Formats: sequence, structure tokens, C-alpha cells
Amino acid sequence: MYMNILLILVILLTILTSFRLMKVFDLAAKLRGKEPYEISESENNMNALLVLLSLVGLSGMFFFLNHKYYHPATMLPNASKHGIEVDKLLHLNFVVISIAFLICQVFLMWFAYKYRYNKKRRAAHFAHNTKLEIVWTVLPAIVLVFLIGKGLIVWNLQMWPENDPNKLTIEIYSRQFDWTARFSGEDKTLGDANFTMISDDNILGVITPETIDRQLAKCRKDLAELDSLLKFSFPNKKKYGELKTARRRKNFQIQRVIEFKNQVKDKKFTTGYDDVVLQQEIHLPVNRTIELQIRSQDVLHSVYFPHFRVQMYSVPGVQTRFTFMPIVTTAEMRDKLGKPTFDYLLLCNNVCGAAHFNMQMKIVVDTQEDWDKWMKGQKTFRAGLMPEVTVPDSATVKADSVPVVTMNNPH
Amino acid sequence: MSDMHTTHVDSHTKDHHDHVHGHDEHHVHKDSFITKYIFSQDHKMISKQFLITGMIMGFVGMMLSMFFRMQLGWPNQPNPILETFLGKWAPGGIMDPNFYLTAVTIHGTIIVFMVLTAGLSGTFSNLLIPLQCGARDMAAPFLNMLSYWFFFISSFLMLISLFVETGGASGGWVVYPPLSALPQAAPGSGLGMTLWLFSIVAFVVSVLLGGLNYITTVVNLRTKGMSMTKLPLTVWAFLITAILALMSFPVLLSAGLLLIFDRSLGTSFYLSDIFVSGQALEQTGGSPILFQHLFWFLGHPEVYIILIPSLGITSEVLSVNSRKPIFGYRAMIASLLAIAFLSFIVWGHHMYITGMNPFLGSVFVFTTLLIAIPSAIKAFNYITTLWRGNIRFTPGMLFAIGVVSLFITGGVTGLVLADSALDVNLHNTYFVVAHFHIVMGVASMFGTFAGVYHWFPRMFGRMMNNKLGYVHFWLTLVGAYGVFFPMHYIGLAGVPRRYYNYTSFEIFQGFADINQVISCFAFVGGSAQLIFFFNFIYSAIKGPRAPKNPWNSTTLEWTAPVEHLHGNWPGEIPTVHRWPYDYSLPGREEDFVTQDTPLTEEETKQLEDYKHP
Repeated sequence: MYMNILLILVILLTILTSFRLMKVFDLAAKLRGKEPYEISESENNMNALLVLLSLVGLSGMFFFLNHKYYHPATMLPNASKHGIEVDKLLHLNFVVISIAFLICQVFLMWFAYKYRYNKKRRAAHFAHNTKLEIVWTVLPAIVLVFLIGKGLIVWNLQMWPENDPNKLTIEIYSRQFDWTARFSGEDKTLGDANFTMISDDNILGVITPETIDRQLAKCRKDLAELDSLLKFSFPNKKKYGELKTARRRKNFQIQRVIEFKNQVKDKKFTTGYDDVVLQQEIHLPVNRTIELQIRSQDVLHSVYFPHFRVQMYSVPGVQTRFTFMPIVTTAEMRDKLGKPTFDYLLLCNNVCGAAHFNMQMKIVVDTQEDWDKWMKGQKTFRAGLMPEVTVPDSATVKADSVPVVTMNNPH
Repeated sequence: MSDMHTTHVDSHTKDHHDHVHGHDEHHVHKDSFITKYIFSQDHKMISKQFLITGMIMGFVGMMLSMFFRMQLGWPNQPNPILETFLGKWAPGGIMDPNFYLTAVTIHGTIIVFMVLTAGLSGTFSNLLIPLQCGARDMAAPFLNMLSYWFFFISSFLMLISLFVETGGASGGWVVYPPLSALPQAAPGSGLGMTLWLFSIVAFVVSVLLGGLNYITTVVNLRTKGMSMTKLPLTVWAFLITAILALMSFPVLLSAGLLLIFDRSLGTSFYLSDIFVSGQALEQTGGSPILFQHLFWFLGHPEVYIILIPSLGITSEVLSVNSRKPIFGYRAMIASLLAIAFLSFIVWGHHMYITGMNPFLGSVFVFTTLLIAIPSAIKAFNYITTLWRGNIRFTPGMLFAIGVVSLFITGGVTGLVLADSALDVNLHNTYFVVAHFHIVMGVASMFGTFAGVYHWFPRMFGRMMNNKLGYVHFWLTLVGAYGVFFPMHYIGLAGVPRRYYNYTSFEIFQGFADINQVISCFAFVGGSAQLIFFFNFIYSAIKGPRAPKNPWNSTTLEWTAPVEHLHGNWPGEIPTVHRWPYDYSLPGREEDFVTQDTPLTEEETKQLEDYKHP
């Protein structure tokens, strides 16, 4: 406390002293007969020199940072097929803009220095020159057309890849604050999923006959709990409102789950059985086309695999996609970089809340054989369901009865 | 050779003297303190109000950036400064991750809207449009006053949003829903976000009232002889900025309103299929991408709303202090218009990887890269303006040269980001942060400083201290480049922005030291601003008295007396005879000829020859 007061006093005194000092300087200048707007020749020359110096500084910094950071060892090593083209394009762009940057800065600062004020000289009355202006309109235009063309070729390569029948489809699913991946299994089809089917043990909300029953039972149990809380816990106004909202949402959820239940006869919902759901770490086979299907549970996230030159937003309510092919295995990359602990990563690159900065998943790129072995060792979605499905509780008994329709029901 | 621009006479310009003479009667009434300093309707006072409010907001925005630079440079290390300033948001001196996000969000919002939109346009449009067009005041002084007070409300709401219990908005300045729509998803999306939205609503109202005034004044209240092609480039820049603002800010308002509806009325414009904190929300069918389209439909023109006034100021300051006409006056206007037009059809380049159709992405690549052409023309014209000049390095001039340098540095990296194929890997990395801070943030800030140093005598009738100005400039330049230049390289290494720290990633460990260096440069740049604040306050109160036309400038604002009159000129408004860039005309002793100087016989003859060869 006393420290703070002392600090404030020191600051105030500094300001006051500076005020007095300034006044003295101003008076001194007045005595010397210098007008307040006048800039002395020495001042002017010094600033001109500093401009020249800043040119040296700026280009020095540019070359130093290029030397230190703009080379393969410190930049992100590329590990995907389209990434090769992307990196070439980046390099081309980088060369073009470096040239433009240096030329313009040199001219700007050199002119500023060279044409500093001189009493004996008079500035030229030079207001326009059509030829010059046409040249520097057309020149950038040509360079740009070239860059646009190059860029769009690579863009199309990235975004409209050839359809590969052997592609591996993986769902990447985001939520605050972790990633979940789902492999499509032997049937090469991802099972249906819906956000109303989400529960603690079914993060993705995969729809199978078993999960529908369990979800329905759970929701009804929740609803009963909410009802009893509303009746017997004497909530205050705020809490009451929250409970009402929760109850309304639960009813909505139950309706949706029942809709799925009614569809079981037609749709079967069995394609999800062989899916493999994983968190923390996934493996990818090298040299195989990978199609990411991206979904989000809550807010926007961005699926960012920096080493594969892959990034795509994951958007709640919309499925997005990105197709790529890893071409370097983790082991090869570790050798190449000389870093035995190196790992590919999946990061979140769109702010999604407090722990956004630590939302990651480890990616291992294996050879096809290693990957097959790894895949065999993974539990399918159905295998994960089994133990719990066989234990019915009191809630599952009521599962098939029609729910009590309450107020605020959306249907 | 005398340039033909110099001698255009436009006989169509109407005489507005009679319209505005009525203002003089106001002057008879003695202004009370309240009508003079608080609810003032005088454009010069309103301009000062905008400037000072903008500076206060700028200080807050800067302090927030200092705090998060401390966090980024020395993550997880207790810092007593943070604890002193942030209290419960930095328990034990370690910043709360939620506060980190709030800091970056409010820093961005304040700098983009409160400082570089209102603080820059509000100040200089208000000051210079009437004075440089030769008008007694804005077309609608009362609306002008309202414009300031809506801005004040907006700033106030933004400030108090920092102090609410759950913290300020924390979804980044772009406030993408669903994060910003769901209080369950982040504490900052509660009351803090509500205040953010209401602040922005007030802000849009302020911008619209201001913009209407700026446009009307430029179109209707130009003095006799002041044709559009005799307007200084500053006024052209403010006019185009105001048009951009009028066309784009309403879209932000609608984006914000729909977000307010989603937040409080249960609509689903932006929400669909969301499961959050254990509940499945009923809202289905909306799209978060819709918000991004609406937001960036403002967001991209906004970049130019920030930059164009700065470029206008730069044109004027460069020309005055090189003692040379601006090179390619008409090309400058044409490129401003081209940039303004293109800025409306490029918003998608912020959304290449949001799941937008890639073909649409290609179209946006094309339109975005087109902007490089008028931008390049501007840069080349600035450089040529310096060529064979006789340059006086006032602090304003240094900042104007700084604008050009930053505009080039930040502009070229735009080519990389405009390329959708490259944006895939650079989107939301520090490369983007470096790019827009240099080209839009720092460049516009430099433009603002150039304007303040240059027109300070016009605002306060006193001179700012040059020496402090030089120290301020050089430290700020070193700080700005030192902070943002290395960020490009961090971005090329894939380091994402808006991360609280990078300690949990082995691949980013190599950048811990460079982050500390950046933070140190930020502190240097930040402290330099204290020098500016001091110089500003001291000079406004005690600075030496300024003469009428300290920079030997040609434009009309320097023909008005130093004392502020409500109505600007004591007698008749000067008539304009020539364009604003008659510097170093051959055959004259003075190296400048003010716009209200009648043409000589020789010049009239030349004009006749030009018109009827």
C-alpha cells in the first residue's frame, strides 16, 4: 500500500519536474531567437542520417532473421504431398515480396536522405508523369497475374483432389478442449451421429440401436431429476429459470432421440459398430490419401496440422472436409530432423475458450504394415459399448414408453 | 514547367457563403462552459474531444498489450506488475487464461474501433473537412455532437466491460459465435460480451452520424472555387472513408443484432447442433459462417476505413514537408477509389478455410490481389514525391515517411496471405498478426501521429516540442519494427495466435527467446508513447504559441486565424483559385502559393491555352 502511494508520488513529481524543465528549454530556445516551428539544419541532417541508418537497420534485421529462421531447419518441415507445391509457392512469393520490399525501402529512405533540406536548393515542381505511372501500374499487374495463376493452381490441387478409392476416411471432432478422431473401420463408412446423442461415454453422439436406448433412458432419468428439483428444491428465481431451461432442452433432446428410435427399422444404424473412436493419439498410414471429415460439438475450432499444410475450421452444424496425403513417417522425420522426440501434432487454431492454447492431439505416421497392426489393436465402437449395454437399470425399463409431454415442448 | 493542375478553375462551384453566414450570429452569444467544452457543436472542439478520448482509449489498449506481452515473454512466471494492475485476474502475478483472451480481445476492439476509427477519422475529418473545404462548420453540427457522445457511450461501455465479475468479452475482436453467443462456453461471453455488443451498437450509430456529416459537408459546403479536383488529398481520403463507413458499418450492426437475438431471444441465426455443458441446445439450422460473412463484410472495408485517412494525411504531410506537389494527384484519388471499391469484394479472404466453397475462395484470391495494384501506385507515388524534394524532417514528416515504409512492409506480406493456398497454413498464425499490425495498425497509428504533430498548431494554437517528437518517433519506429518484423518468422513456423502460452508444445520451444525479445521491443515502443502523452499535454497547455501558418502550407486551414472562432474565418470565407499543391512553383520567390491566391495573368493565360488550344 505504502509502496503504491510512494510510486504515485514519484510519478507525479517526475511529471512536474519535466514540465518545469520543458519550460526552461522553451525559454532558452526563445532567447536564442529560434522560432518554435523552426528546425535547425543540424537537427534536420541528423534525422536524415537516422533515416539512412534505419534503412541499414531494417535490411539488416531482414537478412539476419532470414538467415536465422527462413530455412528448412527452423521452419516447419513439410510432410504431405500437396505441401511440396505449397512450399514451392511460398518460396516463390517470398522471393518476389522480398525484392519488392527491399527496392521500395531503399528508394524511400535513400530519397529521404538525399533530398534533405538545403537552403540553396529548391524542390522540383514535378507533379506527374504519365509514362512513369503507366509503367508502375502495369509492372505490378503482370507480376500479380503470374502469382495469382500459380496460387490458384496449387489451391485447386489442395481443394479438389482426385478421388482415390483407397482413401481412408477419418472424422475429426472438436470440443472444448480436446480432439476426438473416428476411423471408419472395415465398412469404410462412418456411422451416423447426432449432437442429441452425445453422452459421457459417447462423445461423438454415434447412433446405434444400443446408444439410442441408453440415451433415451438417461435423458428420462435426467428429466425426472429436473422435475423433482423443480418441485422440491425450492430454487430461487435464477436457479428456477435455469432448471426450466434445462428441462425444456431435455424434452427437446428426448424428442430427437425418439425420432432416431423410430428410424431404427429402416436405417438400422449399424454402420457405426466397426468405427474406432480415439482421443489423445492417432496413427495415420503413410502415402495414403486421407479424407478428414470435420465436425464440432460446441464452438468454432480450427483443425490445424501445421506439418501437413492442412487447416480447416470445424464448425458446429456444418461438416467440413480436407483431403491430404502424408508422405513422411514419424520415424523418418525424427531421423531427418535429428530430434528423437519429434511428433506431428494436431492443434486448434481458432480461439475456443480458456484452454484453447493447449488443445492438441498427437499424430503418428506409420508405414502401412505398422499402421495395419496398430489398427487391429484398437477397440471398435461396438466393443466399447458391450459391457454397459448388458446391465439394465431401472430407467431402461421405461425406455419404450411415450414421454410425458410437458409445456414448452417444441413438438 | 508549370503544371496544369495548378490552374484549374471550376465555374460550377456554388457560392455557399450565404448559407453558412448565419453561424456568425451564434458567435455573439457567450458560450457557457458546458456548450463550449462538453456539448460543443463546434467541429474543432469535437475533433479535440475525439482525439483525447481516442488517446485515453489508446492508452488502455496499449496497457492491455503490455500485459499480454509480459505473459507471452515470460509465461507462468509470477510478475508483481501484473498482480498490481490486474488483481484477481492475475492471482500471485500469474495471468488468468481467460483474462489473457479478454486482453487480446479488448486490445483489438479498442485499437481498431475506438482509436483508429473514431480517434483517427473522428479527429481529423472533423478538424480538416470544414477547414480545408472552406466551410464555417459541419453541415449538421448537432448530429456531429451526437456522434461524439455516442462514441463516448461506446467507449465507456467498452471500458466498464473490463471490470465485470465474469470478465470482458474473450472471443477475439472478431467475436465469432458460437463462442461469443454461449455464456456456458466462456465466462467472457456473459455480461462482458453483452456490454461489448451494446458498445458496438453505440459505436455504429456514432460512425453513421459522423459519416453522414463528413459526406454532406464535402459535397455541399465547399467554398467558392473549391472544385472536387482542388480538394486536398486529406479531404478526399476522409470522404471516401466516410462512404465506406456508411456502407459497411450497418452490416456490422445487423451482425451484432442477430447475435444479440441469438444470445437473448433464443433465435438460431448462428447456432446449430450445439451440445455444451451437458445440454443439447434447441437451436438448429443457423450457421456460424453467416456471422463471418456479415462481420467481414464490415471487417474488410474497416481495414481501409482505418488506413485511408492515414494515407490521406501522409499525402498532405509528405507534400508540405518535401516542398513539392504530391506526385500523381489524380492517380492518388483514382487509386483510393479503386481500393475503396475493391475493399467491398474481398471479405472472403478472411474465410478461405472456414468451409466456404473453394471456388468462391478463388474469386476472392483474384479480387484481393487486385488491391495490390492501386496500393503499389500509392507507394510509388509517395516515393516519387520525395524525389528531388527539399525535405524538412518535422516529427510529422518522419511519421509520414514511417507510414510509407510500414505500408510497403505490411503490404507485401498481404500478397502471401491473399493466396488461398498459402493461407491454409498461415491462417491465424503470427504471420497474420505481423501483417495486419504493420500495414493497418502501426501504419495508421503513424498516420495519426503524423496528423497530430502536423495539425497540433491548428488545434491548440501552440507548437509541440520537436525534440521530444523525434525521440518519440525513433523509439516508436524501433519498437514497431522490433515487435512485428520477427513475428513473420514465428508465423512461418506455424505458431498460432491467441495462445496463452506455448510451453506445452515442443515444436514451438525454439521461439521462447524471440518472444522475449519481442516483448522487450514492445515495452520500448510502449514507453515511447508516454513521451508523446507528456509532449501532448505539456504543449497543449504551455507550448510556445504557434504562428498562423507554421509549415508554410498552401491549404485553407492555415489561412484561418490561430484563435478558434466558431465559424473559422472572421470575415468572408476565402475563395479558392488553385489546387492545394502549388509548392516550389518556378519563377516565384516563396516556395508555396496558398489556395486562395488568385492566378497571375500568365497562369490565367496558360489555363486558357490548356482549355482551348
